[in-house]
Amino acid sequence: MQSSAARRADRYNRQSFVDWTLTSEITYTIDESNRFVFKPYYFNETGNYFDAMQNGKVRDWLIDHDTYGVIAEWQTRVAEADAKVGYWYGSLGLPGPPTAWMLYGPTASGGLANASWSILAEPTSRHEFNAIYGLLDRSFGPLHMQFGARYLREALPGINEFDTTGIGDLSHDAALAASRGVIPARSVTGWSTGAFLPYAAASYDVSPNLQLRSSFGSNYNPPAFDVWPAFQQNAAAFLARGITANQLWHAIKPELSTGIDAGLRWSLGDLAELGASLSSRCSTMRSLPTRR
Amino acid sequence: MSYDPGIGIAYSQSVAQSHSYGAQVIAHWLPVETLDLFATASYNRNVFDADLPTLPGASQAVRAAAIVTGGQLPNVPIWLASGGARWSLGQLVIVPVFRFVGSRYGDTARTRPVPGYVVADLDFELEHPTP
Repeated sequence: MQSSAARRADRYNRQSFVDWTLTSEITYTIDESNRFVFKPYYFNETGNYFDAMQNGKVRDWLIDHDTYGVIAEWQTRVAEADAKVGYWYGSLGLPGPPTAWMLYGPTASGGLANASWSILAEPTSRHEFNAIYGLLDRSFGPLHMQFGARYLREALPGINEFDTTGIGDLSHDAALAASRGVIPARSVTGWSTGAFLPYAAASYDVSPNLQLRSSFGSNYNPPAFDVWPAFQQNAAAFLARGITANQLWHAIKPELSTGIDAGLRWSLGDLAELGASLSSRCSTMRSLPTRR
Repeated sequence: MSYDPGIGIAYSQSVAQSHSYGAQVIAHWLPVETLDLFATASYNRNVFDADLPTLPGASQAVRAAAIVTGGQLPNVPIWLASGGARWSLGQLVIVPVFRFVGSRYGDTARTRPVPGYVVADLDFELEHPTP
């Protein structure tokens, strides 16, 4: 990552990124009813945001990360049903949450000066997902049914926050090297959580033009990482009440939800189609412990 | 975004249970072979099941802001809609599309209303069959 000194001062509230990605799908057919499908992927992003802050500073959020993973799936037939069993591995580099926030003071001439670091961090482990899943898909005349389940585990990253005393306008790597060291009370360790997520769906062809359908399923949304920058920007307030970054980090929870929906699709040949659906969902997001 | 009186700052927290329900309609019509019209509308209520937790000693303003039961979650519009067309003129295809996002609040205390907006897109496509 290049030094911020070279960046122009007229780039407040702007962003600049270079993204590239590689995707692939490889299918190996064993026979008429058995095949393996592999879908590896890689995504890389470098860039930065320049944001004007409410405190009059200009924040330079440096981003240099990648994402990679693979889906491996076996597609077969079981008891006259289409079946698939698969595994997904995904690995995300930080951010998020943010690891490099540099702050500048704007000058009268529009330049940037007095660089300091609001967040200077380095991950000790990546943000990873592992999931196994299976799906059965079978038709009984006009009735079409699907049953599936997924077990997902998410490993949240561990992150070291570094002492930024005396560190100015340097690249992220140079700033890490210049730091006096890790601040344990502002650093966090990685941890894992998981969920079992069933799924079922059915549709019924009342006539060639009218289909009724319904589904039930559980979903998982990763926890929000907002507590990381919130803690780093207000570390003194949290630490004064005896709350470390690690305590806060291990208290965040994913959002688990269970939903059902029902709908219909009515078509008039190829000329017109009308669809309608109703849905309902319950979500759980557990609370963060905070103390006075 | 919720204020934490124990720390004295406001930040995003996962501190709630919620439920949602909604409905969606989708319509699709080909009045002539070269014109494809479509429209969608959805209604989504996504509400808190309980008030947000507060600590003993929290001010009246903080306690009032934590009373959210039955209120729509922040940044979740109740109404969404879209509509558009795909009009083929030989190799040229014109695709006007609009998307409407309804008004909502940007915070749990419902003090920061965010107005709804419409985005209109106009795409031109040139289709060239490959041999």
